This record gives sequence, C-alpha cells and structure tokens, in this order.
Amino acid sequence: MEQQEIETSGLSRRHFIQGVSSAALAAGILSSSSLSAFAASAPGKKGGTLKVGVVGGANDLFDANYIVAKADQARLMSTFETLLTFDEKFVPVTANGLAESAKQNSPTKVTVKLRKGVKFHDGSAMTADDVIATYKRLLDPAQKTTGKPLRTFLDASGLVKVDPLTVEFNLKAPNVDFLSTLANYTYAIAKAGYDGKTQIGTSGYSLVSFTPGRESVHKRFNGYWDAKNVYFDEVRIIDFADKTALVNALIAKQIDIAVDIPFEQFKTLKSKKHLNVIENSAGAWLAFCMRIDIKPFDDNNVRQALRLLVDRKQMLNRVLSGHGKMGNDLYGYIDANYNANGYEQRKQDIPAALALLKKSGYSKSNPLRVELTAPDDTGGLVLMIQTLAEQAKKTDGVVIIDAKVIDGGTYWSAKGQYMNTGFYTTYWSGRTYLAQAAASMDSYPETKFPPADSSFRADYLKASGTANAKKRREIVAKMQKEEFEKGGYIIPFFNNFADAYSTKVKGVVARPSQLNMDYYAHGFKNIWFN
Amino acid sequence: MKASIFRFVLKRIGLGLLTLFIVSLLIFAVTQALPSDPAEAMLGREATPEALAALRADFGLDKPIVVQYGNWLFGILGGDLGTSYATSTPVSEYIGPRVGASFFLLLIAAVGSIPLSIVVGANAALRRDRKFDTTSSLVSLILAAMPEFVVGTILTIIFSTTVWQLLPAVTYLEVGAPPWSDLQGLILPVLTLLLAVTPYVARVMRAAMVEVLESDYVEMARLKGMDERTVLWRHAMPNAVGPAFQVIALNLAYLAGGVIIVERLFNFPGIGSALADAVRSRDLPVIQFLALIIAGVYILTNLLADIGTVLVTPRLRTRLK
Repeated sequence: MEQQEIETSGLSRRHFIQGVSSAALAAGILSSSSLSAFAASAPGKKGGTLKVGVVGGANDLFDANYIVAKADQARLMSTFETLLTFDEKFVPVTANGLAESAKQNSPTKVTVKLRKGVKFHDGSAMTADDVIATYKRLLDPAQKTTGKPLRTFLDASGLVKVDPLTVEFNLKAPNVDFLSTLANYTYAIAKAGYDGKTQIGTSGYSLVSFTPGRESVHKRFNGYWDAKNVYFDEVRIIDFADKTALVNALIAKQIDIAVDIPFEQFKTLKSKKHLNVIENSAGAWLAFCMRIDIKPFDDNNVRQALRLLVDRKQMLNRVLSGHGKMGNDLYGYIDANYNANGYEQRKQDIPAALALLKKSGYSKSNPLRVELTAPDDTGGLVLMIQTLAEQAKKTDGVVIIDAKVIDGGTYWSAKGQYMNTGFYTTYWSGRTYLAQAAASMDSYPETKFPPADSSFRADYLKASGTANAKKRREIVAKMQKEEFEKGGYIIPFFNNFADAYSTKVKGVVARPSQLNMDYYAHGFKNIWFN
Repeated sequence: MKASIFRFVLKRIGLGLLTLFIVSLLIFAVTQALPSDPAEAMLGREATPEALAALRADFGLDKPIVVQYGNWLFGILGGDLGTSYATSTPVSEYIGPRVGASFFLLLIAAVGSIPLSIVVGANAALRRDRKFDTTSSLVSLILAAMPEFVVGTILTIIFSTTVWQLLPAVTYLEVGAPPWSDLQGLILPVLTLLLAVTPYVARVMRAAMVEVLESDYVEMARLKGMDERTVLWRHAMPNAVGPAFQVIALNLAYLAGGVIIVERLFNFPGIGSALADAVRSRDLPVIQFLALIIAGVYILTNLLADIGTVLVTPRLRTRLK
C-alpha cells in the first residue's frame, strides 16, 4: 500500500520530469542505469590546469557540511560528493553521486546502496560507516553544519548499517521526500572521524593546498571511481576580493571560469568572442522580512499593505536588470507545488494598500513610518530597499520607509538587524517548498511565522508524511494560502545567477541547478579544455 | 657637526617611537570600540550564546581591556602578533608574505616615481611657460585630479580588457611565490601608483625650482660666470629638492594606505586587500597589526624626509650646531 503511494508520489512530478527518467522515478528507485545519457557525453582531452575565479576572502572556510560563501561552495564541490544529486528538474538522481541506488521503502524508511570501489583521497575505501559518521556529524548540534533541518526527521539511532555498502535511514517522523535530503550538496560524505580540518573526500580532485583569501589547489585523484570523466591535471580556485577584478581577469584570459558574474556585465561578457555566458534560474530569492511579532508588523493589514506597495516589475528590472522572475510572496519556485492555489501575480495596488492602512488607523497625518535595513555585502539587497523606499512615496506620505544600509559584519551578527528587527532583508538559494518551510520556520526563523494559533506547523509535518501527491498538494495549498494572506515575507522576485567561462572549456552543461556552473561541474569533472 | 646630526636623528627617532606608541593606543581603543564583536561577525547566522561565549574566551575578549592591550603590545614587542580570527592562523604567517608583497610594490613605485617626478618638475621649471612646461602641467593636473581607482580602471581598459589585451588585468601570485614571480602582472598596479604619486611631486618640484632659479644666490652664481649645469646641479637642485622630499614622503606614506584600492583593483595579494577583508570580518589582530604597520610607514617616511631635507638643504644643515 505504502509502496503504491510512493509510486503516485513519483508520478506527481510528471509535469516536472517529462520523459527520461520518469519510469525509474515512478518506482521510487534510482539507479545509475537511467543515467547513461550523461555518461555518454563526448570524451574530451585530458590535461591542463583549470583556473576558477570566485569572490572570497580571509573568511573562506572549507568543510564538507558547511558553507558561507560561493568560494566555500566551489571548494566543497571540488573535494566532496553526496549520495544523490539533483537533475535539471530537481529530482534526486544517482548521477555524480555516491549511491548506486536509493529507495524510499516507506515514508519513514530509506535504503541506500553505495557504489562499489569508491575510494577516499587517502586510498581507503568508502563504506557505510563513513556515510553513518557523516550523518551523525550533521545530526550533532555541537558541530557547525547545515544539518539542523535533518534533525526534525532523523536521530542518530535511525542510521543502520545493513552491510558494508548498504545504509538504512529509519526516520522518526514521516518524510516522503527524504531522497531530496540526501541530494543536499552540504550533506557530502567525508571519511569517518572527519573533524572539518583535514579535507579528505571522494571526488575527482584531491586537495593539495588551501590558503584562505588566496587560493586552493586540487590535483587529479587517480583512484577516482569515475576517472574517465575527470580531465584536468589540476584545478585552482582563486579568490577575488572584488567582482570587477574577477571579470577583468577572465577577459584578460588569466582565469578560465568566473563564478557568479554581475548582471551589469552580462551583455559585455556575452559579446566577447572568447567567452561563453550561462544563466541559471533555480528559484533563488531575495526578500523583505517582516517580523509578525514586532510592531507595527504584528498587524496583518500593515503586512498586506506593504506587499501591495511593491512594483515587482520595476524592482526586478532595477535590481536584477531583468534577470529573474517575478515573485508572489511565495517561495519554493522549483517545486511542482509552487503556487498551488494559482494566485494571480501580485501587482502594485496603492488604493488597496491605503484602504488596508486606513483600517489600521494610518493616514497622512498619522503615517506608517518604518525603518528597513540591508547589509552592504550582499548583492541586490541595497538596491532593493532603496527601490522600495522610493515606491512607498506613491502613498503620498502615508507610508514612509527609511532605507538604511548596514555594514555586513554588524547586520548579520547575533544582535544585528538580521532577525532582530521588524523589517529587514534576506537571501536564499532555491529549495523545494517543504524544505524551505522547514528552513524558514526552524533554522532561520526570520519572520517568526507561523503564529502560535496557526496550524501551519502541523500541516507541514502532515504534508511531509503524505505520500499521496494529490493529498499532499492540498495540504501545501492550504499552507501557501496562509502565507499568501498572512505571511511575513515580501518576495518580489526569484533571481537568476550567471557565470562566464572561456570558450576553451568544453562540456559545460547549461541547465537549472542550485549552484553556479551546474554545481561547479560536480567538482569540475565532466568538463575539459579543447 | 656630525655629532649634532646624529643627535638630531636620535631625537627624531625617539619622537617617532613615542608617536607610534600613542598610535598603538588609539588603534587599540578604536578597533575595540567597533560595533559588533568579532565572535558575532564570525558566527553570523549561526551564533548561539554558548558558541559566542566560547569564541570570546578563545579570543581573550572576556578579559579586561587593559589586560587585552597589554597582552597585545607585549606580544608584538616579543614578535608574537597573535592569531587571525578569520583564518585561525598566526597573523605573522597570514600577513607576513602580504607585507613583503606590498612593500615590493611600493618600493618599485617609489624608485620609479622619485627620479621621474624630480626630472619632470625640474625640467618644467627650466622651460617655464614653454611647451614642455604647459603640457606637463596640464597632464599632471589631470592625473592629480583623478583617484587611483579611476586611473587603474582606465589603464585596465586600455591595456588588458577592452582596447588591447596586452597585459594581465590582475596580479596572480601563487601562494609562497615571491612578488617578482609575476612581473607582467605588476606592470599595471605599479603604473597606477606611479601616476598617482608623480604629478604631485612634480608640481611641487617645479614650484620649488622656479623659486630657487629666481633667487639671489642662483643669480649670483650665474653672474660669477659658472656654467648653467653647475648652477643647476650644485646650487639650485639641492635647495629645491628639500620641499620635494617632504611631498615625496607624504605621498609614499599615503601610498601605504592608498594601496588598498589599487590592490583590490588588481587582486594583488598585499596588505591592502587583507586590511579591507579584516575590517569586514572584524579580524582585530590583523586590523591592529596592519594599522600599526601603516602608521609605522607614515612615521618612518616622514622621519627620513626630515633627515633628508636637513642633509640636502645647506641652510638647515648649517643651523644644526
């Protein structure tokens, strides 16, 4: 019966999947055979040193299970691998992953069979023990990892080694989408005993040296399980303090890949004969956060009025030069259940906003005056608050927004504006709806939504355990209705991101992915110099 | 005479050290007063009260401020610069190579700019109101009016990205490699610094030279029938170079700080980019040490300029008794 329901769950992604691997998914089973299309790519030439430029600094960190900035992502992806990865429809697959197969047996049980012959960079074999040790590290609250959302569903006691190459995940709360969790790129497998300091992974390149703020050097690992798809002799991930220097270095042919280029440079770079540009939309978003427990945002009229104040189209054009999609105050763009209620695009509606504010007693003589902050270190946020402050002027003095730019070190600190004030800004990468709901409720309770009397949390747990796709969509629709009508986020758009690289580099795949350069080419494999 | 110069130099060094001590107090007070402490800046979104307390204890931030200052000052005097909060490596290990790289950059800029500006300034004065003078004045005025990042950006556009692709747009030093290992990559940053400093010094040199050339003693020398070369090099130049020294010193000292922008522009792994980074991450040991170094450069260059001025200017030299 349960198995049956999971089949339906697989099919629910149909308009998502369209073809290729839907049959394998429908059975809830992932196997490498369904991915032969990837392996069949044209063989490239071996050799060379790939130079990858990325913005970074002294704060660079290196960890299999934790990142802060893109430089950290690039290094994690170069050194470590996850059990599963996402395909272009954000369906978990085994391609480029360490699992040979992964099967959701029931809403509370997942079995993972590991690939044979996977070796760590020190030559030792990767086994179930390493997988269990990694997930124990993620579950340990004393470790600085991104494992917090995992803890809702899993205890260390639920991790069972069936044989040296088989692991069972016995969940404490039902989660029919647990395979997606296994594809989370920060849930990468490190060797048992990993302390976050010695970086020994299973990827195609082993770490030679790492100097924060300067560069890391990675050399080809000859014991790699997928050796035929690793082409470069060496990969260097080079830090740039500044995006201008990054772009200049690419144009001057000093680096081969510039990770995350500014949209202002998009056209210029695209016009260069020796460069290619790829743009990626994967549901990343920037948002205004209103804390529903802080005055005046505890008043839903105020929250809804501010949502109606935003000219999303203008904001998209101004902040992202149009490189994104308009948002509707709902997250989870990559989810099949995004906007399950089919709400129309929210547009600027000043009269409606004023009517709501009037109900709460705000007028020209008693204006709604609020402070809105953004950190100076995150692209787009500053422009966003300035644009909103300007758009608020259309209320003719009823809403006055004081936009304040705060130094990043202060803003994100424990007592800073982030999470501690009523009205501020944030950024997220793309996630499925329920994963984001968990992250926004528990990991980073930015808006303090849901309120105590809401059924949102109970609905979340119910949806996570509901395998029947239709029923699940109904619950998600209910959750989204509550957020659409009473939530604390203003999500004006989903932002794309773009990378540029030398035409010398071949094999680059342009498809939706959560990370730059198609997950940094899964650790800079599958690409080569011509 | 020699003894008096020696006494003068000693006195100046003493004053310099006193200034440095006062500066160290200021640096410490100001950096400690920065909003948000480094533990918070490091933990960011992940901060919990326990983690903060543990990290603060790690950094010694829970001790009284006087004790913190004492530990820091005596640490530096004993060669222990502390540990960078951001990289968790000793400051000396993190900053050492960067100090070397930045000084190398400054050294080439200085070695290039000093003779260049003196020659340009002196020549402009000699050919006063003629073509060379008007052209060099105009060019130096334009350059002096442009901030370094504009000069640097224009040079990059011309020589490495848009017009021609002749020179590297950034300096790429492999970790552990000496700064001269990428000479091509040094051309644009050095040129930017040269163009930032030379115009000021050349203008001061020109003004000083003009004044000297109109002075009585130059007129006297000419009347005595000395050839123009001797007049210029023996009588005019030493008196004109004095004021230029002061400006050179100020400019070099300024460069030690101004190099921050140039380093950022060319992704040069020096103290400038490290300082900008450290301020962002509240990496106090790094900020404090770099601020001290930059202050030290200021004091040292001014000291050298004062001594140099006294030594080259006959009037001042004879006054030291």
